[in-house]
Amino acid sequence: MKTWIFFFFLLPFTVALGQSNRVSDSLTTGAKKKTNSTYQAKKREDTFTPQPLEDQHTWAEATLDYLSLGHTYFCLGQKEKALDFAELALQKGKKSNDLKLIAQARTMLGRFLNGQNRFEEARPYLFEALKMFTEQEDKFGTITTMAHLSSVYAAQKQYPKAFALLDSANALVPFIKEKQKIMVIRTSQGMAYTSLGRHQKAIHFFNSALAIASELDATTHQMDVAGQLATNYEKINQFKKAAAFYKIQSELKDTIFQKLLKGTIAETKYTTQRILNEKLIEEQKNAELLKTNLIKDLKLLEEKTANNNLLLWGGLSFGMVLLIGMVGYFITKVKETKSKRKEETLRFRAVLEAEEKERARIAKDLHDGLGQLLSTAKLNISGLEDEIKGEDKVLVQNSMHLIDEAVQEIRSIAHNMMPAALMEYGLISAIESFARAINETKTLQVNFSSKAMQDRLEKSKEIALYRVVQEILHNILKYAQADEVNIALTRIKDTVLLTISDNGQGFDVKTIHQSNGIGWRNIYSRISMVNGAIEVNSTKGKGTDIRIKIMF
Amino acid sequence: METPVKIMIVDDHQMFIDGIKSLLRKEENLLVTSEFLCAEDALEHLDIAATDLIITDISMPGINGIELTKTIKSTFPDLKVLVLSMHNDQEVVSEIMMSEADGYILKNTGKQELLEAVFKIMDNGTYYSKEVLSIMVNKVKKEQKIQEETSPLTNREKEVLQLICQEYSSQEIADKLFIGRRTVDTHRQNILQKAKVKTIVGLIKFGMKNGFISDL
Repeated sequence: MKTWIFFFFLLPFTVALGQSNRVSDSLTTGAKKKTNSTYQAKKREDTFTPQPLEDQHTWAEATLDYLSLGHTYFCLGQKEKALDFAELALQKGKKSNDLKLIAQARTMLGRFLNGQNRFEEARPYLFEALKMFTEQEDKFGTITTMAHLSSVYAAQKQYPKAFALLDSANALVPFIKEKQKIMVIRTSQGMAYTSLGRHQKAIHFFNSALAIASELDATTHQMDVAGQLATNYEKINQFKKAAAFYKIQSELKDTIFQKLLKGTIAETKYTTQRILNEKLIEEQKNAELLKTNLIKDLKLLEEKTANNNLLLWGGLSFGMVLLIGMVGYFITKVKETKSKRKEETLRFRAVLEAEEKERARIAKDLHDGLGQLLSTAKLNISGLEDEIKGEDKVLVQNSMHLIDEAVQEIRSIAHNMMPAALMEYGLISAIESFARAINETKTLQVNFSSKAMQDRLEKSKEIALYRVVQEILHNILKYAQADEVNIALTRIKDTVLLTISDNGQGFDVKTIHQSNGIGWRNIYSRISMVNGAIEVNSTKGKGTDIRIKIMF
Repeated sequence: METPVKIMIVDDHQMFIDGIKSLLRKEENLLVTSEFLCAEDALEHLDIAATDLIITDISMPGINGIELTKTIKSTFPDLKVLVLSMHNDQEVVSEIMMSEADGYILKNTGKQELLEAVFKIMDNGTYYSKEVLSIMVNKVKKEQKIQEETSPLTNREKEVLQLICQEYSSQEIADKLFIGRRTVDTHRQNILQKAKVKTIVGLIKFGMKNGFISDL
């Protein structure tokens, strides 16, 4: 019994520290071991008899699990997932009736929503949390929530409010004595200053947080802070330092993944561990790839800045050749801008390719994995159909309908992500079936023709062209009020020409570059990624013609 | 049917095989005689005497269901194949048909559809959807160039072929034309010979090439 009380006293505290890895990050080792063994014992029991989540204790435990999972995913950059877990945490927290946990979940949810630029949604959660923490006289919670709220205001450019909140938070800091709490506070203050654009100040706070984190050996936190520091150094053009911190962050990430994989995650008994592990490895690989690219880019930038300086000094010391120096500098500068642009293109292409690969994988997983399971379930239920009589029969039929709908839904999600036709049968088949699907809705007639396109194109070009057709047709459906579209794909020697013309209301072409939507931006960048050119002609009332040329 | 239909199931998911087995267990006319988790094993252990119908998945590691169907249909054209798949992309389905499988249903099927497909196929019919047939018409027309010399069909044979192309089974054709089931099968044999094809789907392709189902 004693252990249990201790357990509950301690748990909110640990989560407040934002430590996902509760075992390794903990300072209070003695106490912690006690808690942990209780936990382990309970867990072992559960593997044999899954317990219904009835009592408030179990709900609280679940909340804690979700909170720490949320934090871990957030640190690992998986923001969507982090948000999901924060939402789950709030749900379970409400069931546990533990006001402290509810407030924590709200803060977390607000913080993550803020991270996704969903400021208006974030604010109410943070306000609620702030109210609760103040009522509970929880100064630590109050400070962190205030800092997060300040970040939200800063992002919304309401600077006076943001500064006011930070000031009142700062005033409360001296009341906090525990190191872990100070670390968390420093981090949230740093984040707020980052949002406010006060990078030097942010760096100051993060450095102090990092020092405490290293002292406490709180790995997750170190990684988080290192990432924040890197971002801030990047903002003030200190690329060397930024690169160094990115490196630290990525190394720590590795360590944390190892720990997660080794079984700390087993503490979350509400999540299927195997699936989680597989996903984690997959994500680790992707994240690693992106990170290495980023570090490389930063190094290159750094080298270039160095070159730059050298050139400048050379030019000054050779007074006589000042003019030549200037010309030389100018040429290098132009070259640099060019190579920088090229690098950016390369990086963007890598991101796009990774994204498409990920889409294809998820689509396949959904379709072949989840769809397969549901189909098998339906088959099994269908076997019972004859044996069930009377009113219950409706239940069986309803269930089968539901499964059908679910499979249908999965199929259409998977198809939108990556049409199987595109991967296996090529661009022409994919556009044909896309056109067929639109024609079936009878809202728009799509005529598609192709010439000399028997040979398949490079995969990246096929994907680019398909996505562009998809995007343009969506635009036409949404805005053009057209009833007919002609799409033609022709290959002339080394050039593929795609023309799309509709008979809709047309629009002012000048507005393309001013539009905020990502639609056109996507189209342009995809085309430029594959060395293509695009030309848009439109007259109000006379439809739109789009010509896209891709060279080999 | 006096002797039950002997069925082989090929699917890389044991759970799915078990699902089909438990569905068919209660059917006296159907008997699952063998099951395999991959096409390689199925081909190696194929006992032609103990198999009338193969129910197979498409996406499997190694040899996939389409290749399996092609192999089987080229060596044992009379052995029936029903393909079950997660995909309903029309391209995929028409590829299944090109492999000359006798029928195709989506995996999230129910007992009724499964039984309907099995019985139709066992009665020399095919089981595809209309949309797939119309895509096939276009595909088949494109490969028209290599068309072999064929002896002309009689009017009756043309009638029968037209109904075969519309996915009628032997019994259904017999009912429709007021002739005996055996007579239908004789006609079918003759048309197969004249068209120089071996399978029902081969016949349908022949019909498409020669414009017997232009009205789809």
